[in-house]
Amino acid sequence: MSHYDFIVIGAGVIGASVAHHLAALGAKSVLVVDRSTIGAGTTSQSSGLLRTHYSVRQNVELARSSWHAFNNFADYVDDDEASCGLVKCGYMICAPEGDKLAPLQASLDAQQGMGIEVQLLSKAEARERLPIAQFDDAALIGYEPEAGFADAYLVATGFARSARRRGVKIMENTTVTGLVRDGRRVTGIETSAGTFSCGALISTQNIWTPELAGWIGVPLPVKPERHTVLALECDAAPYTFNMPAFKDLGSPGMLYFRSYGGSQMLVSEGVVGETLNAPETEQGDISLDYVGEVGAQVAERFTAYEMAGLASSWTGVYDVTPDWNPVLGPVGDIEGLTVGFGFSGHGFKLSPGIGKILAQHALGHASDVSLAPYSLDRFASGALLVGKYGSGAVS
Amino acid sequence: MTMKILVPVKRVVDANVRVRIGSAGGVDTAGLKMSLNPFDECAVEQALRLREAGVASSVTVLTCGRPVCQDVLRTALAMGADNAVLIDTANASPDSLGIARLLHAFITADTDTDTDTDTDTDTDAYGLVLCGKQAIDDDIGGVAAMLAALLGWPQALNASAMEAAARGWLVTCGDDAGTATWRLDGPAVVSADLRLAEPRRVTLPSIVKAKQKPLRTVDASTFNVPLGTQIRIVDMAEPPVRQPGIKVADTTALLGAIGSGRLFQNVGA
Amino acid sequence: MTMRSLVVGEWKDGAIADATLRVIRAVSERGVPVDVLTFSSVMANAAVCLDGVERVLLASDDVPNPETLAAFLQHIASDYSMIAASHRTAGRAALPRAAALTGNAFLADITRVVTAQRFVRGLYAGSVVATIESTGATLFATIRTSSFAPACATGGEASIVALEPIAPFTATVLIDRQAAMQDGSDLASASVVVAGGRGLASKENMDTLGTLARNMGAALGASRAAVDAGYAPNAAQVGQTGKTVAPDIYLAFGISGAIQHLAGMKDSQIIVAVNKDPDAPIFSVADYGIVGDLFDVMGELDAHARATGDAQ
Repeated sequence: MSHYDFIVIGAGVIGASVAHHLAALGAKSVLVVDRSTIGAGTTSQSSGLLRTHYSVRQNVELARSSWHAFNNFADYVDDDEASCGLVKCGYMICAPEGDKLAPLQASLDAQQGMGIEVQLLSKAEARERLPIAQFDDAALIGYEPEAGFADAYLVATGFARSARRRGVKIMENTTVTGLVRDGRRVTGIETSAGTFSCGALISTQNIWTPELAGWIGVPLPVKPERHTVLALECDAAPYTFNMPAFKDLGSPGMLYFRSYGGSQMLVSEGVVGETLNAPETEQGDISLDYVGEVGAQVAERFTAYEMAGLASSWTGVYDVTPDWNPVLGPVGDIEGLTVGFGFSGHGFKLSPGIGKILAQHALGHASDVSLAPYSLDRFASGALLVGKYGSGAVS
Repeated sequence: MTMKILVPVKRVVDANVRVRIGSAGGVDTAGLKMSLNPFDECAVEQALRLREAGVASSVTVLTCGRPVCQDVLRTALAMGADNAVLIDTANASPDSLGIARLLHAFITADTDTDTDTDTDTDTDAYGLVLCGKQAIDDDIGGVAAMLAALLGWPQALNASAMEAAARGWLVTCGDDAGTATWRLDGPAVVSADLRLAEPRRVTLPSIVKAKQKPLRTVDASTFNVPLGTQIRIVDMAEPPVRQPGIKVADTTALLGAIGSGRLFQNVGA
Repeated sequence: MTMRSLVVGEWKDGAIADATLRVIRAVSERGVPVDVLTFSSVMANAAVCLDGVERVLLASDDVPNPETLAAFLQHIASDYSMIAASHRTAGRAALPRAAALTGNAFLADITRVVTAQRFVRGLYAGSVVATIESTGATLFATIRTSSFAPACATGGEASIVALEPIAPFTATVLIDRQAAMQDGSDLASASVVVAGGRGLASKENMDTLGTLARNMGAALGASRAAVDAGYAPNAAQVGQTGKTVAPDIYLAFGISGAIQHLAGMKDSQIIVAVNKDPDAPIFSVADYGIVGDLFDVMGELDAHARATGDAQ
């Protein structure tokens, strides 16, 4: 039986970030365990969008520090060869007259108030940046230049490599089967490769968090929600790398868009997806009717895409909580356990910031951003972190 | 001379899905992503091109299975096929011979009867059956040749190119040693390799148009063909795990391990 | 009792093909007498010496087209409980046709013979291994010759039986043969694939990899990360949202080996990985791995490829 000061369950982008930050902050004895390989779960299906636009203030802070990490990734992990695959194309968001307009205005104001560069664009300026779209109905268009997209799998493996270099042990293809308790304290984990004891346990189990709930007998509210992503091809109007990622609050599906491979369009809905019965990341069926519906919405904004072809499609899974924001911190009065789950579709873009504050908390340091608002008890107390856009991954 | 093209297609587990053996000892496809068999997709594409070239008047896609299989018919209609037929096999799970017999019966019924049972208005006969060379679930590749046998038609399998000829078809087929071009006289059965035709993308307008195209269901029992199978799967297992490999120091060591003959097998070919 | 096996023979480079010897070995494991079908007196005379063969059937003086071969098999099928050929063009074309003509079943690419009635073959591109029981009168099947050792080519004393000629099928005519023209550009069917990942770091470097692929007669593939970064076109993507390939050799340069990529190439016969990171997951599936500089290895392979090309 081996002992580690810290054990992290889950080597997705969040777990890998936690591991890197633990080591970077001085932890000398860290073990990460994953049932598969690094980043093989929901991380690898992420669309990779990066932005600091949020209507929940705490998320803006985490997003800002995370953006700094993505923008300087090699330095951040102290590895010249490391790359997060960043395409810094900026992020544009627009809303028509209607119920999304006031929340958008408020978020843009809040961002500016926090010193984040946000431009308000005229329709003509928006067209210059994204010439393949039309903005006739746009009442407000925001644009943040310090944004874009990156590769979540690369980031997970980048953090993992950095962690390993600093002495962290990562065990892949190892399934955790239970916890070891001493009264109220978690003191270790049981796995397919034996039992390991720890000073502190951090769980970043994403859609598999219900397993942890079973081990500790405490309900943890998270559901796996499957989302479809389409790659559309339109030779007359390619979506190139210098065109910004785009969020269309005017579309019924709250679609987000970005370039895929420099010419195709990647598009996905930002509203509630299909809740799965069990946690799994296998590809789901995508019906032609669905493609037609989303396609019709795309064509409203990108008129040439009325004739677009479906190049490919796939599904990804979000770990969704009742208020579409993560649960961070301790669980009730259980000692030695910190959780980080329920990122509801914005785990990747916050992963550096989240990893750092979870590591800080586990080390007993003050955290850069307080974990209190993300506490598990908010669901009981009613202090939900509801984004101003309603349900959906914009929070 | 115009004629109709029949493209039999199959709904299979998507090529990228990891298939697993369930506790009951078989492969449970419920919940798995299903798709139009990739080789059949190429067949649909080639059929559409022949129609667009004026060689054929219409393209009919057909599948044998349960009603849920309509989704692949819809995909083919969205690609541009004119009409679709589902032969509902109910509780039967026909093998390749059973499928070939159903297709043969369908073609024969279509040729024999007047157009009153058809929803397409032309009276052309089927001059070509174009299907994928194999289904990616069972990888047997038997239906094309079996159907050709029952029809008494010439066959060309694993086609990588084809065109209409004076009395039939000129088809280039992948071979053990390269390719061979065959002349087929009269109506024929041709099976498609991926090289035959890169399938066109389904476009958003075509998805809408496809909803207006005829899709009819026919009970397999109306064809009176025996659907019992003569092969039975008695066990399924995972294949042996790929053994971990070795590290080699450099390119020279790699060439020594694999052999330049094998690594450069296509050089100068 | 009609429990015999028939092997459809092949003639290659002036001798009974090695593939035929392996099919003979395979069907011998059924434990019943084996006959071989031949298509010329020269071939028949060579076949009488094959170990394990009881009778040599002489069908005609010419290798028939698949339809004619199927007609031959139809005539004699009732004497056999199994008719087998190697999983090559001729057998794959004639045997299912003959099966339908006689109302029998057809199986492809058998890898193991368990009993006279039980066989093993792969499903889902080999990701499932299935054992199949045959219950019909005559099973028609192709055999994966690489799964069996060859029968001995000497020591046999078979008798020759000439078959009645049959009317050939004339609606299929061979016009022309073309030798293998593997320019390799077709990713899905290439026998050698050279693929690049994020480690290539730029489109220019990916283009250099493309030159190596061309010089090797290989197809060029890419990981999703490389496509997403704009280094390679979407059509080159190998993996879960791209193409699935199963070449003889897959060379992965600067590809870390995410599960979604592995899904698209795991059935390659030989996987070679070149990556700077010794922990890259690709090394756990690679048969041969080089931890080192991609560009060194690319350059050396290119030099070898060009030298091989010049020498031919």
